[in-house]
Amino acid sequence: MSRTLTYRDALGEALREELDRDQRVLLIGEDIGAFDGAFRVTKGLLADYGEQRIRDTPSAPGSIVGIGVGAAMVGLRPIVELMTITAALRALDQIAVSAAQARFASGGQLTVPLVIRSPQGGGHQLGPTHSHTLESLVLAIPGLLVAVPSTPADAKGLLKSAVRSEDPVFVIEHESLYGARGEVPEGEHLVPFGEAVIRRPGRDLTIVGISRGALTALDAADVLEREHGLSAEVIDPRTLRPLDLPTIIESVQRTNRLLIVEEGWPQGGVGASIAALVQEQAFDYLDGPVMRVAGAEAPTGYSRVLERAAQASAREVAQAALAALGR
Amino acid sequence: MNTPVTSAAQRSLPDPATAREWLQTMQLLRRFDERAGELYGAGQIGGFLHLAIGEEAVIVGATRALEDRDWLLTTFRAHAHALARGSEPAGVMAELFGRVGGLCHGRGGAMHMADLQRRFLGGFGMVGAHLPIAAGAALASTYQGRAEVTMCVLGEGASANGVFDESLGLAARWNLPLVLVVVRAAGGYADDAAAAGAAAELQRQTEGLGIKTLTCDGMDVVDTQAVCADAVRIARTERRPVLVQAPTRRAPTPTPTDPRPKGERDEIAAWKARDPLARFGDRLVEVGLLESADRARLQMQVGAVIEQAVSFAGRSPHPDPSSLYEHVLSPSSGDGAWRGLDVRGTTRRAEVEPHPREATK
Repeated sequence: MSRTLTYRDALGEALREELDRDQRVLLIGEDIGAFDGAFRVTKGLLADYGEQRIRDTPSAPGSIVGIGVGAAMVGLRPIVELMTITAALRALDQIAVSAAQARFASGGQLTVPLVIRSPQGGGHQLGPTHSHTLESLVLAIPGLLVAVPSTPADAKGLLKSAVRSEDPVFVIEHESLYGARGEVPEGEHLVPFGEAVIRRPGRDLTIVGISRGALTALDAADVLEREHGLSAEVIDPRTLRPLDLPTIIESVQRTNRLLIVEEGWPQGGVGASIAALVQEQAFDYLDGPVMRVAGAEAPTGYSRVLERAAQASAREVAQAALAALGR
Repeated sequence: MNTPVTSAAQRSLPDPATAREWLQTMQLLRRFDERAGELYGAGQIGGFLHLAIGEEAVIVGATRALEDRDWLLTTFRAHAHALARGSEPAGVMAELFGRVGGLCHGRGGAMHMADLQRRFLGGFGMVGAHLPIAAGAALASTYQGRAEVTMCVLGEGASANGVFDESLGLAARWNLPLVLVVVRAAGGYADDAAAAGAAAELQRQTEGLGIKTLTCDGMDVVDTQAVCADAVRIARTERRPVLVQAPTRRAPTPTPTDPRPKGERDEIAAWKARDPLARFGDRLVEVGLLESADRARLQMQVGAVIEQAVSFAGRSPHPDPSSLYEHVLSPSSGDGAWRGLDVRGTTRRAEVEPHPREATK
């Protein structure tokens, strides 16, 4: 059975189910308890699970991630919430060094089954400190799994899978999607890591969309069909490490054209990496250059106009698709 | 300053077997570091090697305050703590050599040595990074209803790091059984007054966070063990963090990571008068707990163990380059790479079948 839930409530449901299933699961984060979380994902959890399992902290990102690392090493399954992915910059040594390298540095003795949740992306006029898209920064770290859910169902399924991972996972939510609605399966719904989903099948072009970029790509596919009679295939990788490259390659082998849509900065971005892999592995199948649509290489502005200008619209993505098709 | 209840000289000795075990472990740490320093100079050991000559009393005293079920974390001066916690000297030396037989199979080295079987979560190379991790370990024990204590050894420099206040503040608020041992290594003798001033400042800082602080003589194994055992008992029974300050003085000889040639004759003489290993051994002989011949025999056993460790390390193979991806991720998460990448990060192009138009050429 499935029913319609918001992305926010789908995440909340995943947290409740995992708290119920496994006593080792506990939540640590700033304002997640008494305040219900900055984006209300953890609403009501403190009342239902108590302060042993729902732990409010001061604003100290590095320390709370570090506490999560230590608790994970000694047998717990902590879920640490960072209020914004910009806070992850303050915790980067704990994420990149303590969490992601402990297994390696100890020769496989230590495990860090830690989940870090954080929203990224603009949409609420929060300016340069709360609107960034930093998935490529996180993806650069070996030893760390990265999930980027774009739908409520995937938000639930990926978060539940993350809690069960033996490795540290960064679940990057999209801030503007918390109110988005979608069908979500009830009960045990696990989305495996490393399995992309084809959101829309097509013949003429493959569009890979990262995080909210997958939704923009779907809208662009509508524009391409309606206005140009073109059939675009849209792929949502859902996790960036592991990345389901075979599904992308298989699609490119059929369509021979590729466009990648992401909201992060273009230099060293996820799109750059995927483009490199595809041309290395399927060069013979490409009938044109791999094109990218990324966020503008500028900080996010406070002004609504500037904020919108930093991200491509569906129509602009459709234009890029036409370029990829040589039109 | 919060001074010990009794002065170090008045602390009574433990039973003879225990005293001999402490002495022999201190001998082990000393001889291991003397040999490791030589092997570092000979190029057998790479990277940074932080010797602990002069810190034998604080390391052995602090770890002997722990039970087997307790957890230990320390700084980049990790290998001496592994030895004190009971890790096999051969595995420790092989790790310094970067070999497969090392505790961490050559992946961690001197600064990042861990031995989970002995609940040693490791050396941590980034100053202060292990403070919140220690608090997290203490949280896990408490959360699961286990009366374990986590001990976190740090240098005084880490107390200036923001995570010190953050982690201790949360440890106090959450009633975590955490013992912090702050090793304050004074340099020359002019530093003693400055060190005392800094120690008083740290005590104010710590007590401001609501945390009990104790002080031990870090150059005396008996006093260190007694004060740390007190701290561990408080942390275990009262469920709260305790901080122990342990002033020490490392030997004023050039070390691999501190090559300043400051071995002036009077300074070395002053340190030798405080040498924690010599003083403890002398005391055991003076009170009749140990014959001089026994002391020499213990030392000979240690020498043999270390030569065996060096021999083992030298014979242990280097890791195979193809093992690079082992332990990056758990086996359940796949091969550690983006699928389709080989260990060098380059793609396996041959995996994709050629395009039909290429195949027909």
